[in-house]
Amino acid sequence: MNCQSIQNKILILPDPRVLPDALRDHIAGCEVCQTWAKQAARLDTLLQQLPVPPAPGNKKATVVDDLTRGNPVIIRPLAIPARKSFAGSALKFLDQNKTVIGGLAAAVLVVLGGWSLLTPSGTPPVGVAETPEHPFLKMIVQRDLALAKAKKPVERLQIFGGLAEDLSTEARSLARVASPEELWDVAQWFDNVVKDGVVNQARNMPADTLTLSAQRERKTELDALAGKLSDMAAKTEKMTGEVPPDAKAALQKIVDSARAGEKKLREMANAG
Amino acid sequence: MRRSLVTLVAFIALAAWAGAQGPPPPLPAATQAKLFKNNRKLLENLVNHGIELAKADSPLRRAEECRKTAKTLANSMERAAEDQDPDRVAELARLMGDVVREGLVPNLNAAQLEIKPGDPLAPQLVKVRELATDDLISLPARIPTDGKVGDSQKVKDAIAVIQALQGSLGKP
Repeated sequence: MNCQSIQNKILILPDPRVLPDALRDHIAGCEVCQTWAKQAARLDTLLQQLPVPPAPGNKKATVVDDLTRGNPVIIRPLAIPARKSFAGSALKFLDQNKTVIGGLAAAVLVVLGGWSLLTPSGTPPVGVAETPEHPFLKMIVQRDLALAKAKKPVERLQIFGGLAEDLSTEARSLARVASPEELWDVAQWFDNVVKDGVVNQARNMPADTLTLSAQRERKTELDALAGKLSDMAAKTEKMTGEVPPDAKAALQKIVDSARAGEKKLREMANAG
Repeated sequence: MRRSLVTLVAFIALAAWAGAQGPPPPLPAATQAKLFKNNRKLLENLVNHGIELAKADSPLRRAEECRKTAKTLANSMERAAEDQDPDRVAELARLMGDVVREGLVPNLNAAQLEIKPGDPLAPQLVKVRELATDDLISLPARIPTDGKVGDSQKVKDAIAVIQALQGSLGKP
């Protein structure tokens, strides 16, 4: 027997202070098990010295009655009264307000159904990548349509101002990802729009053919558009310090075109 | 209690509606660059069409320029179909439909009101209308009727809308 089994046997002795012969031989030759046997004996002594808590006054009488009673040992457990549950309260509330709640639920369903119709439809089938629509392309077509509908030079002037803004914004957003040639194209388009669109339409609004109030309106329009061109130049110029070197030339071209257009418009506004 | 529930649901409904009105999220930069690359030539043509539209000083000239703009979009549609890109074909078809409906047709009608029979510009009006009608009639032949593009319901719907505009052009 090893020490572990000796020690286990000591623990299950009725009285660890009285060791049987089979264990005594080992313990006599083993310091570890001797210590263990001494601690087990001491523990047993201490446990015997612990005070016993007093029993309830009539406990003895109750136990004796139970043991001597003629009834079955197994007694049916006491029925616990049902606690009021949340589910019960909720059902009661629903029942009392079923008309209102039904209407509200229908309204929520209608809203959710409408939302699912308004928002883009779900994911395409696996493996089929959709080509997204090009917002900038749509914007340019819309500008063309506006020009097709415009009746007066001032309307066309405003549309070209918007088109110039679209192009300068697109150039800034493409500055870090497009090739230098692509950016240069956008810069060239911007220059064309400013010269052949904005400035040309402004020339179609000569001041000497207008009444005094119309002249004031013309000046206001030209100054406003000059201000927008100045704004485009400033934003684009700010970006030239933040983009790759080969993008700078295109952005600088936009800055120069915008400034030239602004100068021309202010001259025309003041000459009127 | 009832009033609180009604208020809560009304709030939820309004919030849902307001959320659906918001602008679409911006495209990732790489997608934006790719789309620009694909549409680069088309964009250049459209900007030039805009400048020419502004120079057009009559409904007839604007109608002719709108016809050219629509034809430019149709040419790009054909190239997108060759590239087997049904989404792009559908997108360009929709834009072409917008140009015909909102640009070409109104200007043709305005020109019709201005130019009476016997007017020197009457033959030109007839010519513009003929060319526009031919462009719309010939469109389906330029788009495959099978394969990825031809089988796309989006493409079929978009082409059908354009074809329906033939009647709006009036008789040449």
